[in-house]
Amino acid sequence: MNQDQPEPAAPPSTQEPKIIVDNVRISFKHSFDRCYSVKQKLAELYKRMSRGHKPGYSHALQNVSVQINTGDVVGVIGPNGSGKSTLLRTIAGIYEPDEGSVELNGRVSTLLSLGTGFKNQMSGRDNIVLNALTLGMSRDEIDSKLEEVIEYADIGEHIEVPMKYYSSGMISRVSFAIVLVMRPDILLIDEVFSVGDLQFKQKSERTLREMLEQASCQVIVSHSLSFIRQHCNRAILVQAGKIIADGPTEEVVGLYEQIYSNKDEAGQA
Amino acid sequence: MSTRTSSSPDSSKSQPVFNELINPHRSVFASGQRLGMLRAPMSHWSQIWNRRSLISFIVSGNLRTKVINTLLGRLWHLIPPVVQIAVYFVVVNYIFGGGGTRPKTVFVTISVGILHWSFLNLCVSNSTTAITSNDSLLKQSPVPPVVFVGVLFREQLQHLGIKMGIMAVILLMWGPELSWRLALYPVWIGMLLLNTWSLGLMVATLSVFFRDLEKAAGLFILMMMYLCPVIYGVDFLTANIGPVPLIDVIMLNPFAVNFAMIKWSLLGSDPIAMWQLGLAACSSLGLFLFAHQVYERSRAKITKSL
Repeated sequence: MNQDQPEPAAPPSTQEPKIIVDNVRISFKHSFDRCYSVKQKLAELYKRMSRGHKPGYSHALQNVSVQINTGDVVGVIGPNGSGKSTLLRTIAGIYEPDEGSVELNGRVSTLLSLGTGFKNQMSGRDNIVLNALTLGMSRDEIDSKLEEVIEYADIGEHIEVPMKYYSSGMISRVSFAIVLVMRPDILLIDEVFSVGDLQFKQKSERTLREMLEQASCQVIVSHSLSFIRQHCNRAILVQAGKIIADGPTEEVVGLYEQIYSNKDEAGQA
Repeated sequence: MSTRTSSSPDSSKSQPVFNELINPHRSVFASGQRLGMLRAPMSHWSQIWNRRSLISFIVSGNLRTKVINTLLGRLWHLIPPVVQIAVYFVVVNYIFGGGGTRPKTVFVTISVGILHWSFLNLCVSNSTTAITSNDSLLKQSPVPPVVFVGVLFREQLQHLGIKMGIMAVILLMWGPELSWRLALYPVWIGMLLLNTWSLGLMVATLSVFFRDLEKAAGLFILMMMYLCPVIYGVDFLTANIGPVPLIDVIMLNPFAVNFAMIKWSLLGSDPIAMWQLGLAACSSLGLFLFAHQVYERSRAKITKSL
């Protein structure tokens, strides 16, 4: 992103809800309880039966409720392991809520980690089709936009080369090109802005802004507070699986900085 | 996960519609929704049907990438069963002298068995990694894991088509005269597909949680091959074991009945009793419903466990 000339944040949202997360809880069994062998399973079963032992769970999200409207560009911030990525995956429908529900009104596109979801033996062109199909697009729709995606990615004749030969920058270009050209109503992005050259970053930033004008909403997880300040009109602070603040970007980011600067001071003292 | 789309919030909570996170662009994911015995298979097959373009694309892509780095290319789909046929033919006919004066009959019996068995074998043994090997896609997009079992099944169906072509040539050259029994062959193939799908889906699902299955599935398949009339016919059992309860026990296995009926249709082997056939049909249906319930109950935990 161009840090020297920050553009103003996106316009404030209208009130049409695109995402309604209602009282969602997501739990994972503790890793020591994930026994993959029969022996481990039998040992675990014995433990549970003989000592009344119950499996341990870590609650990645607890009673999370949030509504995101058309025009919202929501930055999700919080420390590592607070549940930001889990929240995004739950909204995307990748994780099923253990409690509560998620309602989406619009086509969803996800950019959760660069390079995943690609088949390295396939060419860039084939991977674009593959990813668009996994996002739920029809083949006709993909064919009509394929050349536009390739042009947007702008990696020249490398598009016909297997992706195992791509640099991380080229992979990011292809990933962004797919989700941006497909023009989803709801875009979920998880900490993937750190790669790609300046020119491509500016281009993708422009497209993200254009998308907002077409009644979409975006949820962006990032540790870069300057990025959140610059691009988001709303922020959510997640801590230990709970939303502890939700509101205008400046206020929430300020609160986050305050909490962690206080912790640092307490730690130093 | 319940993936439901509808026009009003109330109806979305009461009527699961088996659509994806795609058109018509409204989806609800709620906890605690488990589909029953009959609705689960309908839902899962609907998910597969909705993603048929994705399945076709992955199958053709896999085929291209697997073929591109090999010298013999697509021939590799045929070499293993052909070698297996040759080995069993030599062992049965020459080493054990089982062929006697009928080596052609032995050859045709083994060929018909192995060519069908290799479909089941490859589907079930490859299903151990059908879901786990696609973890990155599953964590990136809301693709139902059953779709990747569909990919594997579709891939093996293509190979089965080629194998059936080879089998047709063998039958025309050395097989017995064709009879009305051939008309029932599609029924037994349907049963084979049903049984293979059920076993594959169950193994693919459980392999996410029990990695032992990667090893155990191979052993199970090997054991099943000898317990089913694959390299021998039902008449071999009758001649060597006799009409004793042991044959009835063997025929409690729906896969054994399936192979017995395939050989009955194509080679005119001894038929089996109607009650055995009825029981096998019920077992196959039960296995199908059970496999879908196993998947349905594990579905929510799959992506969390990958």
